[in-house]
Amino acid sequence: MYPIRRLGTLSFLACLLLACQKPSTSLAYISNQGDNSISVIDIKQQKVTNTIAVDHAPVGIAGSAELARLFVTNVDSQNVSVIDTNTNQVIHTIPVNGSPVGIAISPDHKRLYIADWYSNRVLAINPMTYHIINETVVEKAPAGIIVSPDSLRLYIAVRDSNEIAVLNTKDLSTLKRLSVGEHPFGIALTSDGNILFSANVYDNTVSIIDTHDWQQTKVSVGDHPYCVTASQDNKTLYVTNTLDESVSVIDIASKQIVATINVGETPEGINFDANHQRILVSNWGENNVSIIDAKTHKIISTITVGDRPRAFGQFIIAR
Amino acid sequence: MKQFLALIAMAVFSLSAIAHGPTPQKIDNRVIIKAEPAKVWAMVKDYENVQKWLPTVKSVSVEKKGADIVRTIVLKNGIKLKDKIKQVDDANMKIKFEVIEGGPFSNYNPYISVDKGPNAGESEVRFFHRFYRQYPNNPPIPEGQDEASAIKFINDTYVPGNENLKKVLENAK
Repeated sequence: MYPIRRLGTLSFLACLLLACQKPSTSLAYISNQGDNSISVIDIKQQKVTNTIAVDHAPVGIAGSAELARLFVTNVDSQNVSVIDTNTNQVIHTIPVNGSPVGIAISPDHKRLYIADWYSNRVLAINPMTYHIINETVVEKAPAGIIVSPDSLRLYIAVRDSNEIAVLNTKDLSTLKRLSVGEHPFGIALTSDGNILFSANVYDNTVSIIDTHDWQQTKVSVGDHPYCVTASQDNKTLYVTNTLDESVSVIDIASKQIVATINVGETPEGINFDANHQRILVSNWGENNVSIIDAKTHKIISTITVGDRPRAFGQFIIAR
Repeated sequence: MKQFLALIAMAVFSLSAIAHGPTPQKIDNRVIIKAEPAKVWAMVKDYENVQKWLPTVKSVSVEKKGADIVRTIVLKNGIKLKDKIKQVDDANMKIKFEVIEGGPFSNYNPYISVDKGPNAGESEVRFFHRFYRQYPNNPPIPEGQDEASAIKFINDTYVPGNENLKKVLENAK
């Protein structure tokens, strides 16, 4: 029907349109607890493109591309900064009156969850109106939190109880308390929600948990593991060992360590960037971020950020 | 009585290990020393004789507790510090500690590492301290248990060793 050349032009235009729909890069938002700021890293360009001032001692990060919002827990000022990711401006501050650390947004973008670790509370907030919809008590010291892909369950690493709490997001009722290793802090899920991971700081293990039958395997990692993240294909788990300056790479199916990557001092926050197949690690002791190639496990770039970067939570947003 | 004391000691130990505040603190210093790394490392790794270069120390004793090596340092001001020797890594010339008792801090994990310096025959020593304030709960923080108190204690107790290690090694030539 069309001459070959016309078809070529058409498909070229279609690709161009499609490309506009697809994320072109990913941004990493690194919370710098020592200087009260967020460093914005463009992962494609491998550089800091912006620095956003927030309130006192930012730790936890949760972001949503759909809402164009970033939420940051400022533990020492006891509040949450709301940032418009289109303008990089702080547009609101949500008071928490406690010690907000862990924070997560539901995949349906309807709820923001905040863990208040000294007051043992978990808050459910409307991310656009900032109204507190519900709150519950989760003892003791709720730290890392994450929501299931269907937005129905909230998983909480309950640090001082050595447990994972599973909450029903409808009413914040407790579905399950599961014993893990000592002092679970960071928490992660596979993208299909079938496997849950916790970094157990004091016994130097990671728990790998089936979210259907709650079967659990513990894998020994390095000294003081803090945070965990899974690759997009759900095959590989990455763990930061804060007192070993390394990242353990675990094959999820066989539950074996397949590599150890040396990074900077005191690695804490870790996320997987599916766009570029990169792993980002914030090195608290070194004030930088390592960008690691997921295939070769080599550090391809080290980016200087602010003082004492934590990057606790889901800190990468695809754009 | 002995058992009772041991129980108390255990309770104190586990308390200090359990809870900590939300904001870790960092003191990270580097000193260039005009001495070969092997020579510097030999002095740094000799944790039983830290009084040779840490000027605040009066005496040191070391005991094995199961798999742990626990060192007791008595300071010249009378304060008694206990730390665990976590790792002595000869390949990377790095010694890691966990200070478990004796000062206004919690979860205190320092290390000292030795690297090649900028010039031949020189070393770079890194003194890295990661710790939390002593008070594990929400404000109000009792006097003497805040971040500033922990930082001051470490600055007063350990940091004078940085320059003194340099002095001792450079004068030993």
